[in-house]
Amino acid sequence: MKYMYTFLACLVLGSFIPASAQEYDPLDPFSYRDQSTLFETDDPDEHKSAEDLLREALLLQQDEHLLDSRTKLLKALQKDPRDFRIHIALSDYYTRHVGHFRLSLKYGKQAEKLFLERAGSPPYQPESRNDLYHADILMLLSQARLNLDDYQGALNTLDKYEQLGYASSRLPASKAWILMKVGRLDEAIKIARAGLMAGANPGHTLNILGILLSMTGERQASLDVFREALRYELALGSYGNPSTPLNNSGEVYKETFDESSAKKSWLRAMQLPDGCEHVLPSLNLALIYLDELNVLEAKKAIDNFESCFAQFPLRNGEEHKALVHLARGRIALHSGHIDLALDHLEKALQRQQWFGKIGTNLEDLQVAIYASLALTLRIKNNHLRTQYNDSLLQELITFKDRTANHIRALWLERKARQTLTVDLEALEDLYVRHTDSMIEYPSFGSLLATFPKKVVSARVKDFQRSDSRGVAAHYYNAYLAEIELKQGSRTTGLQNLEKLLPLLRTPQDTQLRAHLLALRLDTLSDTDSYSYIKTAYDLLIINPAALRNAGGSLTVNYARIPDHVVELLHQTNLNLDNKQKLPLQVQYERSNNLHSLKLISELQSMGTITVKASSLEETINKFLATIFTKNIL
Amino acid sequence: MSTAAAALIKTAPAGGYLASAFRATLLCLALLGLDYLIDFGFAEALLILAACSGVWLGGTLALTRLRATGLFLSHLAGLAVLWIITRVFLLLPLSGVSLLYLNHIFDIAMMVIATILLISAATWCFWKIPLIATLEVLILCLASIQAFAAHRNYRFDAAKTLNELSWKLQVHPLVTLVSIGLLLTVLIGFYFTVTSRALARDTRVARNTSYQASAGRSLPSIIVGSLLLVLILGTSSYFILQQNYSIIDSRLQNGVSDELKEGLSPLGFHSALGASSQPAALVRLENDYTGNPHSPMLYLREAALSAYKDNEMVMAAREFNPDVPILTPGTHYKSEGFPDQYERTPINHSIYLLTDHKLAFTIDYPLSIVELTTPKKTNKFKSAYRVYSMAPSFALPNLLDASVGDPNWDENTLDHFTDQHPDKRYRELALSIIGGTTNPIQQAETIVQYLNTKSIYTLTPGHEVEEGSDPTAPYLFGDMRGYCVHFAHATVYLLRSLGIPARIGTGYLTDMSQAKDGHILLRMNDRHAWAEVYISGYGWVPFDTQPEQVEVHAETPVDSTLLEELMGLLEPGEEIIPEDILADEFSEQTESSFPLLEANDFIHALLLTLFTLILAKIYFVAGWRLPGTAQQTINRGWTALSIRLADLGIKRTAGETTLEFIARINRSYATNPDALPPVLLACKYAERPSQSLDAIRNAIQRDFRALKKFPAWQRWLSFFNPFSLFIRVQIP
Repeated sequence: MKYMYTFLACLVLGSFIPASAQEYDPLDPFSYRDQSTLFETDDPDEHKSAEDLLREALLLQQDEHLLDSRTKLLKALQKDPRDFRIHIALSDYYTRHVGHFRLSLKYGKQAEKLFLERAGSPPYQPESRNDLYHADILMLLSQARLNLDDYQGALNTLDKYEQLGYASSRLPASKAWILMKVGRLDEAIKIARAGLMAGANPGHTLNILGILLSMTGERQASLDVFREALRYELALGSYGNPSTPLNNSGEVYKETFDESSAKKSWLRAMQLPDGCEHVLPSLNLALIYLDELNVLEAKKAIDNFESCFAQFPLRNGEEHKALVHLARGRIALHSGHIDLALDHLEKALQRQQWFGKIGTNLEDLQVAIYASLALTLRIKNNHLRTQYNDSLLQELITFKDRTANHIRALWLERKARQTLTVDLEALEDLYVRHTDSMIEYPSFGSLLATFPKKVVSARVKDFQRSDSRGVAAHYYNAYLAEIELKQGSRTTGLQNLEKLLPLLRTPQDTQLRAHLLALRLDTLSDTDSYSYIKTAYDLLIINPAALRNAGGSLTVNYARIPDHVVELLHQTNLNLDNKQKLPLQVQYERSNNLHSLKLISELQSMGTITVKASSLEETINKFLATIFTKNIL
Repeated sequence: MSTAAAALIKTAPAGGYLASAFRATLLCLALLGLDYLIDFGFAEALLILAACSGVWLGGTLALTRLRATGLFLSHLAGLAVLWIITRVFLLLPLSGVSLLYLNHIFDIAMMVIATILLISAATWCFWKIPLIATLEVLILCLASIQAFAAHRNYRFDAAKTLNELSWKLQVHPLVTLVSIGLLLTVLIGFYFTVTSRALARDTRVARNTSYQASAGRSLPSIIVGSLLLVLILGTSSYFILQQNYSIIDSRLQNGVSDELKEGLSPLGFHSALGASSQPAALVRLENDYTGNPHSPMLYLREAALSAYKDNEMVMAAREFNPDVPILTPGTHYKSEGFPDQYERTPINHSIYLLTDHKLAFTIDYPLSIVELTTPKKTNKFKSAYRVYSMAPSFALPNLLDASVGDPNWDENTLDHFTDQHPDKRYRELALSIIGGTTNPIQQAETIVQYLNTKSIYTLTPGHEVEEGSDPTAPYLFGDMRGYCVHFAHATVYLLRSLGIPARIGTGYLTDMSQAKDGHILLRMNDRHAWAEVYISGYGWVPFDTQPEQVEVHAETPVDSTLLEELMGLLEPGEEIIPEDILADEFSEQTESSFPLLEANDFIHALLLTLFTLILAKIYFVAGWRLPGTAQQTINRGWTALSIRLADLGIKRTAGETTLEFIARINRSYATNPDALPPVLLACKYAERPSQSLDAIRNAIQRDFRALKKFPAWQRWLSFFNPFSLFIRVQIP
């Protein structure tokens, strides 16, 4: 589709430029062979007219010589600053190839000014072609404003476009998209449908219609529309953009808890040539794998995207870095690499994200990052609590870090609550798997439980009543159980939790299961009790990182361990106990000034682990890290 | 806000107005700063209100007989009551959405009230316990140390705000740091003197608190003292910085300085700890460069060090390195010829310097350099030039078949580029690394691979190097910890020991994947030194060590907002697109995020203060009309009358009685506010006013009417004089 736009833009602009004899090969503007020429004239474009330079620039763009093209356009501008067509070409260049929308808007506005000075006010006679130029300028201005998140400005520009009677196959889709962004869904659907009937670009229009239908709850109709869009895009061959409807249909499947179809859609989207032009298919895929706690596949999805995106020479990927860091942060979190997770999530907070072209917005992303970061800080504290410290100073440092993390987590949760309440329309993201939301739904209960019980329970029940999706009910019940456990009756909460656990699906709801098991573990105070040990092993089998993340302790048998080492290990989250036969046994050895700890496992999900280091502290901490992390590096 | 300010002025312990206002201002600034860092999530005006209210409440409570326990309990009770109220309200039968919004409002209310109570407790302590003023200053000092701790090692980019502020003001980060230090010192000094003066002079405070009255310093002496302090500290800082500037600058430049002289080295072995992400230059590729063999990395060379002297590589005579024109950025250059080299592609690139550079740097191999007009829209660009280069476009694997050195070199030149380090350990190590490899290119690759694997990247190698000894040896034959300067030297020595012609290239190394539309933002920490080998037919090719093990990640992401901002400033000029073309668009943030105050902000702040003071004045002048007892009305009336008289330039002088004052007014201005004074005097000697409330009000009104003898314009205009609020009204 990208190439088609380039082609069309060149066609529109190129058709108005009169032909002239070419002195230089436009595809090779620096083709000096003769050195004397090189030193005589440094600039082969010096004697070319602005018109020639513009034509050459457009041809170069078509041939993907983008920097050459930009230079030609700027030279053309120097020669004839009042030629609005050069401004149009530059505006188009910065929108399509670079993603510098502010510059694009600048050139677009100057193009409009110059054009109006030359052609006067609209309306124009059709034979003058002025209407085409003006339409082109307005469309560019609208695009730039949309991408700068100025939705009202973009809408006003398109209204002007329409009022002047200009027609474009892209108009209905563009207008419907902006209307969706400003929340006027019904109007947007009407415009998209009318556009389809009037012969608007089916690819764009069907896509936006599908999104709108899914937002209004007509999911089956939306899937049908996406299927039609996909057929159309595939029929366009290399000009088509089939990954967009595939990604969109994946999102609808995800919303209907049909994870298998969703994954198929995104995997297919990623394999298509246009699959990595945008982060969404890979991101969605990674996030759904994380719901299953399949961290390796999640990481693979993001890795593949980043290596594929590297093919775009002029884009530095700034537009999606926040989302990528968020995904990587969560991957690291669920694989037990907490410091890495903190690093990624901090970066996600600092990065800017463009929202014009995607359904989500700044607040959605902010809430997601706040929630994940707060959760990670709490998990970091769980790790610090069970970390072995060999000196009082180390203890004090750990205490200071834990206090700081706790305060920051509280603060982030408060900010998330504020954003959810004020900016996201009274917790609209509570609708499980809300398309625009980036929240991690399995652990969302942790954040919800920081609201007063009466406030949040009422809201959860509001959503539960209006949501007909069967699986979604498990999530709402999980939230209510967590709120009850943390703020109400522990017994009731636990009962609700026990009722819920057998209903969860495998592997789709694995993360939710792990979260609930962690909650159960938290309610059991006696670490030697059968139920505690069983829950801990259940959690360990699901994901070793989850047990440590939950701050739980793991009871293991031990052999050949001196008393002082047993004492030290007791300070960590390993509970050494030989009263009953357990599937894990720890052994200790010291040879050649090296301490060695070995974990012998009878569990299928875990092999034998051996760790050696020169100091006992290092050995214990490495041993814990090896047991409770998944290798994703 | 106005009420709070008015109350602040009125009820702060008398004589402590300045100290109270100063504390309130400081607290406002601290809270606003904190809000910038962590975002409280509500309007700044509420924060200012909380700070002022806290100071007022604390000041008022300090004048009562409340003790510490009482204060603590009353504050705790206040918070508890508020918490209970919020919980009670949440029990109302409201919808989920309404409860959610109510909860949000309570959240903000709790935060504001908690801030007020906290500040009031601190203020109470300030007036009651002499040690607290010292403690507050100590906290101010500690906060400053914490905020700027990272800069002890010249890491100006560690605290983003300082770097941004320097960038915005276009001053060296060091200057910003010293200025802030000076400001803080003066602030702390001022705080000490003003508060001690206030505390010492205030009899009411002395009566109700533990302070004893003593002679305080006068305001002019405080100001003169502060200015003197600034002068002394500023001058000494200037001289200290001047003396150490080259060392600091070298550290800032990642150990790779651009101070270059023949026979000397610009490289520093000691530390590169100062390397910061401060912007250094913006490079714009004017045409596509697809054949870059080092992609995504791009080398920009400014100098080459090919002579070995005194245990390090130094700049040789210019004829040895004709491909590197050692030029200052403004110099025009045209190459005398282009050597016959394979697979090179012409590249036009423009370089816009954002900090002062002594040397121009270019993509290899520059044929011509012309000076460009520096973009005028901003003062961020120091100078600009355009380079026409023949850049390498060969594939690195193709080099394996080539030989090293140039067949056209004379013996002297070949000796120059293969001049070896006298330490035999370099050759021994090189031979052990290459094993049986005979191809020189493969040998070079093996050596680089060895260094990549074994080296540890650190900014602080901390090697003990004695004067005149080899600074590379402790790295290569020691702990293998170092940075680019160590790696480049080691590579060159090892290569030369095998007879491979090598030199060190200095300049910038950047990651093109962080570029946008061919625009690359170079930072100070992109400064780099690398080894190069001369390959026949290809020229000088970088053989750069990039260690796999790192102690510190030097890489930081490029500030993309800044990059976009700079891209927007380059072209076109004002004559092509007016600068204000986007003025009527949405208010988008264009510059880096540090909220630097503009001139307009000061004007707004001034207007806001004036408005607040006038509101306070309205309250004091019309306050006697408010419901109250006869005694209160008399006091308020006298305050109002005194303020209005002060507006008209009539003030009581020291030692003058009320009657004398009234008589003077009558003599001098032919107007006599004679109704209220008898009431006041009668009041003074009676337990309670003998007159009715209506009679008192009539008396006040009559006196105000007496003021009508002054011209109307004078009365109206003088009402806007805010200073009359500060007269000392003494109730007779």
